[in-house]
Amino acid sequence: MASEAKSGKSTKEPGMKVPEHLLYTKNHEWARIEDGTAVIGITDYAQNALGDITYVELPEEGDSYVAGKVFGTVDSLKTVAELFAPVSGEVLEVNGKLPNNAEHVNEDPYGEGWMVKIELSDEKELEQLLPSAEYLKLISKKK
Amino acid sequence: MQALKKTPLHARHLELQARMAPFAGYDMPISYDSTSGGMMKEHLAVRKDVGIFDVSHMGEFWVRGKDATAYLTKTCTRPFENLIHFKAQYCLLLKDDGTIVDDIIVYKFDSENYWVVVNASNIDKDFAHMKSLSSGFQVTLEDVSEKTALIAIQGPRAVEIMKDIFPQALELKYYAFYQPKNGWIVGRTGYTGEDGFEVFLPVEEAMNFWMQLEKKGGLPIGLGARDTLRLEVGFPLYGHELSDQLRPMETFSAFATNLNSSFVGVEKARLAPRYKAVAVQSQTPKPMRADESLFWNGKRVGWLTSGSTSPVKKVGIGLALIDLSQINVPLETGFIFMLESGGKQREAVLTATPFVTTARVQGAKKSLKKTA
Repeated sequence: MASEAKSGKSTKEPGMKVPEHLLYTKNHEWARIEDGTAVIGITDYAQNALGDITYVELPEEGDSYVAGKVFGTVDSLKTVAELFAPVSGEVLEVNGKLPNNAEHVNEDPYGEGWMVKIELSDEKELEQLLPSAEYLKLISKKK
Repeated sequence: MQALKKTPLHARHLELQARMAPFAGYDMPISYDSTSGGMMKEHLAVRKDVGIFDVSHMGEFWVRGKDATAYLTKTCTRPFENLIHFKAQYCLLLKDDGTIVDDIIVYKFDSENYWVVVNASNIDKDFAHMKSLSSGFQVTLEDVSEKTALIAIQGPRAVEIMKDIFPQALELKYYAFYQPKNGWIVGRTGYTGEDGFEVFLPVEEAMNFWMQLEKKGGLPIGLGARDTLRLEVGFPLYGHELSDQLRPMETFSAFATNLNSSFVGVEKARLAPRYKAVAVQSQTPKPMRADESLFWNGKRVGWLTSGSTSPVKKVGIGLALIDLSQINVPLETGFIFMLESGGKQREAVLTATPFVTTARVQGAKKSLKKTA
């Protein structure tokens, strides 16, 4: 993981990694869809903008969220950001390692930094999410 | 809006792709993410290794003349008669009503020549204040802030990178200084709690010196980590822990106020404090934030003046003011306040500062004994 971060630095601008197989929100969350569930986290762009993340507050398993609703917060040394649910559904799993290892979100936002797994209540909502190319366009404009 | 000023090292900050932001009228580096890996890493580098800081935005004045010692004793919260030559002293400037204009460091060359270092955001205010108190004294004040760069070298390895450049600097005791060459001042001072140096020098020579420090392994550190470093050892910051709404005994700078001295504002400084400055820490790494409220028994009794996560201890830490009209129980270490943010409460436990012990802040008592 650390070595990937190192080698990644030289090949790509910081904060601009946008894996093709994920879906994205304008609020800089990503969702990986598998078997009727969505694994959710924040993007490389978001972690880079937040800076050193020291604390992540996540919901409990069994909580239900409506798409667009706040499901947690991310604190960095600089600022605090709210997390918005990309899709509606029940929280099946939360990343229990994050409360004590918030730096995982900086180091590996699409891997170890994942936050929650939600059971999709309405697959149609996925149409509202951005494919990688569109998300990349969005963050490139901001640069 | 006035254009942002640039320090003599501005071009180098851009070259290092620092995250820049306006601070006190200057375009300053907040962190050097792409070279250092972020504020957290910069912070830890200063605690374990050595960091270099461009703090050229700070203000510097000369105070010179036959009456300089008497004048500064009237102007500052500590007397200067007995301060030895080539020693610096931290103190406050007060208004007549006892409130704080700024916290400053005064370097005594001799009884007629002093170098005063002030906060960047207060340069004009301080100069006007000091000027207004100078009538009747044979003293001249000169603001040389624009001509002067300031580079801090801080951390356990600071001596190592200074030893080839200024070997004499290694002999300096805490808060002592010397002049290695014309226009330069090297002091054993700093704002991180670590051992280290602050070097004042002409702006034209700043880039060369900075590059020399970089080559010797000094890691550039931005103002972001500078703030967490000072917070972790409980050093106050003007505009947060200190302000023109507060009197010295209500702040962490009470130690630098000699109520037996006779300075402008001393009568009011002796009044009973309305606030108590305290340090608090929490049990999780969730950062504390300035302006968050502190509650006790469901009542708001104070607020945070600074807050963050301690990079070393990995818990939320903060400095706070407690309104003594709202609470009448003894405030001792271990006292528990509730901190509220985002509708959720968490504990904030009263703690002694520093939050972490470092070479400087744990060694302070020992070295005092040695020099006494």
